[in-house]
Amino acid sequence: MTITAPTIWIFFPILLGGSLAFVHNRKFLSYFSAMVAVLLALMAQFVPIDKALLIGGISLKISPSFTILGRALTIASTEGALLTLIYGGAALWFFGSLAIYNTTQIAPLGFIIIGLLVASVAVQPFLYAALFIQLAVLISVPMLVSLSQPPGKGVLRFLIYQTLAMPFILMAGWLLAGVEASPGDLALAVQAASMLGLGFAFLLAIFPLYSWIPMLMEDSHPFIVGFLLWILPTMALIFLTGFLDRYSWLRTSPQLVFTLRAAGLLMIVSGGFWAALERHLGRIMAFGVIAETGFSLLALSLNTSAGILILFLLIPARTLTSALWSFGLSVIRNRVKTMRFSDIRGVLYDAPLAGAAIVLAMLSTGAFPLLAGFPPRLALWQNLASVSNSAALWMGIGILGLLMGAIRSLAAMSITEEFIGWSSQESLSQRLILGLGVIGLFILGVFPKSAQFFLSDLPLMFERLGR
Amino acid sequence: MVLLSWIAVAIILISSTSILIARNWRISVAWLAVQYLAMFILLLSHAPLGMALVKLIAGWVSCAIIGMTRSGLPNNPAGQGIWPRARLFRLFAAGAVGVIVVGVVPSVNHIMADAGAAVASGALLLAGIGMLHLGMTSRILRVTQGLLTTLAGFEILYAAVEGSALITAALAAITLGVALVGAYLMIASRSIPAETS
Amino acid sequence: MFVFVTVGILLFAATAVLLLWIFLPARRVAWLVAIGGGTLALISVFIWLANPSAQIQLPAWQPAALFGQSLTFTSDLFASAFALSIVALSLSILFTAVVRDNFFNPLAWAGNLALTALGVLAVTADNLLTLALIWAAFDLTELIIQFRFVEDPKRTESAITAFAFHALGILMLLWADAAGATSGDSFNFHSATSQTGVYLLIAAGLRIGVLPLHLPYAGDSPLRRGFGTALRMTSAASSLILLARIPAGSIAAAFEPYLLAFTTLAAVYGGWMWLRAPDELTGRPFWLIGVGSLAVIATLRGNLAGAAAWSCALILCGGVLFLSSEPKRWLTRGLWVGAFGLSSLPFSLTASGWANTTPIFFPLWIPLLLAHVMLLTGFIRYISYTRIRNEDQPAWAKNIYSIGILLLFTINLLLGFFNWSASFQMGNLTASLIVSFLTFILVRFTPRLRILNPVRAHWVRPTASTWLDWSYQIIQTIYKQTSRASVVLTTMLEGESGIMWMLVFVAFLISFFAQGAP
Repeated sequence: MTITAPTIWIFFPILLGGSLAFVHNRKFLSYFSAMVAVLLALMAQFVPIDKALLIGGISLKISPSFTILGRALTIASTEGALLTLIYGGAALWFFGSLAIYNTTQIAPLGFIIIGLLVASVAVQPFLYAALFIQLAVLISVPMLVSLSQPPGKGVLRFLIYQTLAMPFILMAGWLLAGVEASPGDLALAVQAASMLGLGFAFLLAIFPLYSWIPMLMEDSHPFIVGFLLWILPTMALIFLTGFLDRYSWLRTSPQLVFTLRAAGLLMIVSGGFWAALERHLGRIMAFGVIAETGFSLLALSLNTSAGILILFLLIPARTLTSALWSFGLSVIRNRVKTMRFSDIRGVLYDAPLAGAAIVLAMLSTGAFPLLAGFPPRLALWQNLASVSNSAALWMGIGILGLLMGAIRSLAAMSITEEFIGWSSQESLSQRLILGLGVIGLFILGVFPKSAQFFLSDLPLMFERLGR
Repeated sequence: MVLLSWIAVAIILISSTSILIARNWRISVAWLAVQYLAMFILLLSHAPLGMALVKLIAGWVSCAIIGMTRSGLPNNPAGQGIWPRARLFRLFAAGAVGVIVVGVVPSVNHIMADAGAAVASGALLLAGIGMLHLGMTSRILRVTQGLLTTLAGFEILYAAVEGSALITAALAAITLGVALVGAYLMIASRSIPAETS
Repeated sequence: MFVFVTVGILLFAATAVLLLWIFLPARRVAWLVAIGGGTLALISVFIWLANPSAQIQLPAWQPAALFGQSLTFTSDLFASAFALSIVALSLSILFTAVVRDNFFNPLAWAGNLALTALGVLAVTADNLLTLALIWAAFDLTELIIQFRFVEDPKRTESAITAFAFHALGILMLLWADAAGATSGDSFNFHSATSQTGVYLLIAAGLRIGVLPLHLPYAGDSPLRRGFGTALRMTSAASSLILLARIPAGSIAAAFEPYLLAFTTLAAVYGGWMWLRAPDELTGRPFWLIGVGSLAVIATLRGNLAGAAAWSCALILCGGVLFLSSEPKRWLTRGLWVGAFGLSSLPFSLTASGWANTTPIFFPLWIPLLLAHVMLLTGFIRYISYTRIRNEDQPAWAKNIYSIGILLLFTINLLLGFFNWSASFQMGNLTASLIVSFLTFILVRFTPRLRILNPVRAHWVRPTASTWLDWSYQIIQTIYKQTSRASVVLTTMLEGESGIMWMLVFVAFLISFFAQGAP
């Protein structure tokens, strides 16, 4: 019996997501979706693609390709680790929705989005990925806005900016093919690179095109926005790395290194700057996420195998940090009028675990030792400093801003006019999830080896960059 | 065919500018449908009839979706935009886009494998005025129209260099998706663009 | 390996105390377990000395291509001296706890032991990665403890401010690591270059409150004598060890004068405030600043043994003073051992404090020695304070309390004579004699000169920090103005005109595209 990998990791999740849209039992949705996601992650890790398996006398083979409208969707065995990471990460959110109200849509639409994004990795030629990413963006809008609430401006801007990315990337892809055909045409190369840069500037929300992120964090449910701000940039970064891997002239261009570094630093410094000054807990997370993308771009700018290793080391840290941060914010959001500093005074005493989780996630983003974000940032900082001292200094300034944001948030949540006493109001499931998340943050921070089980094979996805 | 293409460009200029300045949502949706017809004509110079038809139908269905959704919503004359609502200003902005398009058409035509000046002009006009539209409003209906206009411009240009069935299907799905998302957001907000019925 | 034995004993004891508190809350056996653990830990530190400079290296982080360093611990003589000081202090705190009003406090005992374990790990850390991780663990633990014990919102603010400065110190340490990578080093303490030494010094200075001068815990401490002393002293020790690890000559000459000037200022300020504080506990933050500054000065002069000596004096001399609460005549007299330890006289603990190493600008000696004199005068003045007799204390408690105080005297003397690089020295005889003479004069004149008299407790904070507040005010104003500017920028990008700005950006890039070259 042969089954194709895209059927398992693309079509099945999309169909499942469509079916789950009619289920309204929160507990069932949460448990079932998380279990299916974990199952898909385990299958990706342990079931070999393109190799026959004998299970109880039945020969089963997962073939890598599926052809549709003359184009192939191919999931190679080297992509198994990425699928594990993506479905594993999704399981965190699906399970987390158990303890957060108004998030029932995350599992059904989440499965569809992940299916589409996996298709973006699998589609051949790979530059068609932009189309699937755009479809995922469209699907995510109903996730962000329910029919019972008026949409904020952030959603509209999210839709506009993400939609504008697609034309630029598709056009750049076509131009890049022209550059391959005539490598000596410098003007064409510059045009292609500019188009590509513009496309990814929209897709990855590079300064100043990221205004929708803080707006969205202010308007929409932080847990859902957290999910999107994890999955979309992660897949977009994989897509960008694919471009760099595919085109050697692009990879070896010093201008590209400069551009990536400048963009990355701009994201980190501006993210840190605003995180240090912001007075809204949700918006601080937005700036943290922006800086997080900046770190990934900086890792790519190293243009070495070490850079790719750092890029992948950043992913599990980002996954856990985003999940914990957005979960903590959601717990707090239910207890306060708004997440402005003036409204969250003393909330730490009501929701100590959620408050601690938020602060720890912020500190993790700010490279605080012992936490998940520390090992990749340390490696990045060291590698960056060895090529550019000034770039490393700017990265340090950005990190300082992020740490300031964390400390200000802690102060805002804990300082009150008078002592009110500790009384945890979090539910048992919330405490369990937050506790596990915090432990995970420390495990990844002290034992980065623990993530190597998934990460060691990831660079193999890229034929040139990763080997 | 060349003449027909230039007529289509003229229609695009009129329709996109009309969408920009129209205050009545019915008129702007009708112009959007006309715009898709002009797009269809331009597409015919590079894409097979079937593919061009797919794009036309997707565009018209999109118009129907946003039109029907809008018709079911109450009117809200209160405006949200900070930009001058005077038609003259919008006409001036559209004129500026037109001038820029005239300036860049030759080089874009050269880059896009000599797609043709008419195709390049029509595509850039749509993309440019669409973006202008996006920059001038935060009303859901208008944002949707702006996005559809920009995407239509891109589709014309891209069809000149890429004829994949998967791409055509995906772009049609995206056009429909944008319209559906726009409709969804309109229902969610129960908001009414500033146009008077 | 013995480092882990000590840490293991301390952590095991802390866990046992916690479990006993949870499952057998009425039983006072928890205190015995804590004392047992502390004693065993102290004995185990002595065993280290049998094998000085032993190193323990844990497996390197993965992927190995990214992480050159692994967690490494060393039990060299500096580390042993520091460890001995903090474990002795911890044990002393447990012994002296018996005379405190709130004696039965297993949570505080467990916290004390856990902090000491982290302190031992910090002082034995042999590279920046290890130290950064331990510092972070320490800071988080300290923050949690502060939140757990403090019920005054103002103290909460202080705890957060302290955490902020500590985090900044860690960031500076990591920056030193990155700067080390610039020069191609696989960075550790021994290979610090002139580029990195200064960052390490600032990192330590930030954490002890010297560079720049700041006082997060100024004023009264809610945790007062016992646990508060453990918290402040162990925290200081974990930072001060860095001063003893910065290789001589690794601080760029260009920075040295400025750093010397700032640190001298901090030393004089700390000394003056310590001298004028109403009591030793109120003056504790200034004690840390004052003696910490002297340690920083020693490092700047390339006198690592001196830095280690001042640091140990900070813990042991300070510890014995802050823990003394009972009016026992022989113990009060014994406190003079502490004064001797701080005097830099030959064979004292701080004999190497002013040892002749790198020469400094001569006039700078005046404020530096003056700072030392003020610290010593203040110490002697607090010795002579009348302590209130607590008649309710049973005899056994008073005896056990004496053991705790005696322990610190013993370690203080032992470290002065014991064979490590900072001990059994004549030191700088001129400096120590000048200090002793001036101290004698100052002690005599203190009651007669109004300016040298202690200020009232509630005056300490405002009078002490006028100019400090003023400088922080400037920083706050800059911050507020920047914040306003950011609001304008945010409104511009997120307002209705935001997309127009985006279009300008796109037009800018498309102009590249049209030209074909940037």
